[in-house]
Amino acid sequence: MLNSRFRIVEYPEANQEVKSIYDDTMKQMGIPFVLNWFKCQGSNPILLKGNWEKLRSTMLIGKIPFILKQLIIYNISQKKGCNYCTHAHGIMADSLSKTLCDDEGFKVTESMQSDYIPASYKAAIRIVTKCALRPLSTTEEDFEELREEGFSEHDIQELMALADLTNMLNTIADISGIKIDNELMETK
Amino acid sequence: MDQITFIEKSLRLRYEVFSRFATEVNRAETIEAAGVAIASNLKFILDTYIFRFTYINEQNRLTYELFRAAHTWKTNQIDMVTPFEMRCQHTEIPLKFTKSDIADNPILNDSIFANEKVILLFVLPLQFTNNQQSVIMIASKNPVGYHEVDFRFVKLIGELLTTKISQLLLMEKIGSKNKELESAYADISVRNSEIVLQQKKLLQQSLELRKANFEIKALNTGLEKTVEERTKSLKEANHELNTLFYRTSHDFLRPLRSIVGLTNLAAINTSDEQNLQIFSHINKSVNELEKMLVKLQMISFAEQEVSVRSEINFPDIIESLYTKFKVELKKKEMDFKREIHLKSPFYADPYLITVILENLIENAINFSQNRQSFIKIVISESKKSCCIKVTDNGQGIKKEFQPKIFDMYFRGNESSAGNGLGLYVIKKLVQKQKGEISFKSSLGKGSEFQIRIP
Repeated sequence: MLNSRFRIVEYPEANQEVKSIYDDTMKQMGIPFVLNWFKCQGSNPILLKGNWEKLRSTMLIGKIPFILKQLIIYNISQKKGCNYCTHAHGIMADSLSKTLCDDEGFKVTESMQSDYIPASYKAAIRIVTKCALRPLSTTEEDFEELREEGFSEHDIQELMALADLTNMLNTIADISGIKIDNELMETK
Repeated sequence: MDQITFIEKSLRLRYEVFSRFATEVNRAETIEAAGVAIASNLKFILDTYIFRFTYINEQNRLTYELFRAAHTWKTNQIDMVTPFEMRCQHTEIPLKFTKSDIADNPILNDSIFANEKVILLFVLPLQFTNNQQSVIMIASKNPVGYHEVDFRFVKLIGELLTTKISQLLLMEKIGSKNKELESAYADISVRNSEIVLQQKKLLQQSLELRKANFEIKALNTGLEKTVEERTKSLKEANHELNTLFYRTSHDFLRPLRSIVGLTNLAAINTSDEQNLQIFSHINKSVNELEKMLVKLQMISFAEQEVSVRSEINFPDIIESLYTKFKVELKKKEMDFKREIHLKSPFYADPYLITVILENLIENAINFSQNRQSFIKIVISESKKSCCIKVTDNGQGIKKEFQPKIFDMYFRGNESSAGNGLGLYVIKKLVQKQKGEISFKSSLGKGSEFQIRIP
């Protein structure tokens, strides 16, 4: 069975430019291996470079807490049925839970409806997920609700960029047919 | 997972953001930067629809308000909520207000907290040391309200902000003091520069003055030398001139006397009246010329430094002069009176005394009038000096001429018998003996000359 419809370029096979991008992904995401999502784009350094830059700018940098971003990507991916991204970002979010809590049973992805979690998290996950799944259904009320929760215009743009990013992540993962990384499976 | 464990674990999400918030607040270098940190992070820590925080110390009152991601800072301003806030500040206990409580409170009902979405309002006064206080007001649109853990976060936020504002105010104060010091330092630097400049100018001026002084000294030295040389050469020239003058006067006398002798001889050898008349005129002119030459000799003599001092024998001198002018005196029928009242011997240059008296007598004769005219010579002594007084009842001197009578060649009128040298010679000779001469004269009544010689 093929691992991907796109050619998977493993690290040793990659050219110097691609290796350099692979190194950057590991360093900035804090993981010791290259995700299949990147490897399936390794034969096209130009696309790889552009998509990595988009992922980095939207997911890794900004004012919105990283864990909230992971929860939003996880939620959208789950709703869209993207197995790769649901697994990958669910694991990332829950692994963050472990940094928050020593309890083996605690998963932040399952605890978001609690009263103890500020309403801003819940509103952001709900509205950005809706906009990612059905962009045309986006309303002024969605934006107004985010403002009421204390999100600035800058914050809202950063949140909505996650809808766009997740669609791209899901699309590439689903089209390429990449399998969940063995390393992530081990974590799971 | 039981409830307690879940609460604790879910709180970790908020602590994670609180940690970032605390880092951003601590890094803030301005009040505004701290405000941005609150606006960016507070929504991830706590459900707050409206957040108001007021810091109070002895000098300052700073109020922060956050609503729908927009924030404002007010420094030392009293707004609508302030009076309510001040009341809560004094209670020092947390207070809870429902929607109806807000509506019933006239202050709150007119404030931002009267927003229709606000369900609950909590006021938390915090007291710190050093007279620092803060009041936090949080309005929620969530009917569930707040849990005990939420208030823990509120308190932490309050403490963090109070500490930070206190630090920023202190920094501001230090910065302001530093600016004052920098300004003072800049002023001092400017003053110093000016002083250094002035010193440089003064030094430059001092150098220029020294140079000028040096040049003046050099000039003075040159001048002194020049003056000395000129004086010397002038003295030499004067001496030569005097010598020439004296010798010439002296040498002129001999041919003049020859002329007189020859004229007299010629007069003996002729009986022609006209020629005799001419010879008489020649004799008279030569006599006048001789008198003038003698006086010029006297001037020359007065200029010379040598002088002989011996006891003056006034009776002999006056007698010899009387003999000399006997003819003229007789001719003008002038009475010649003399009085000598000397008790002790008087020492001076006899020749000079003789010439002085001779000239005074000659003047008295020349300017006598035709009525019982006289000359009176009185010699007396007073205060270690000899006084010679010569009085006449001659023509006297016009008042306007009196200041000029001792000038060389001064003559009262063209018909004057004198040559204008007599009084000039007298004055010169008196001065040579360090004496003084004065006179009194009245036109038509006569004159009195008084000489004092020490």
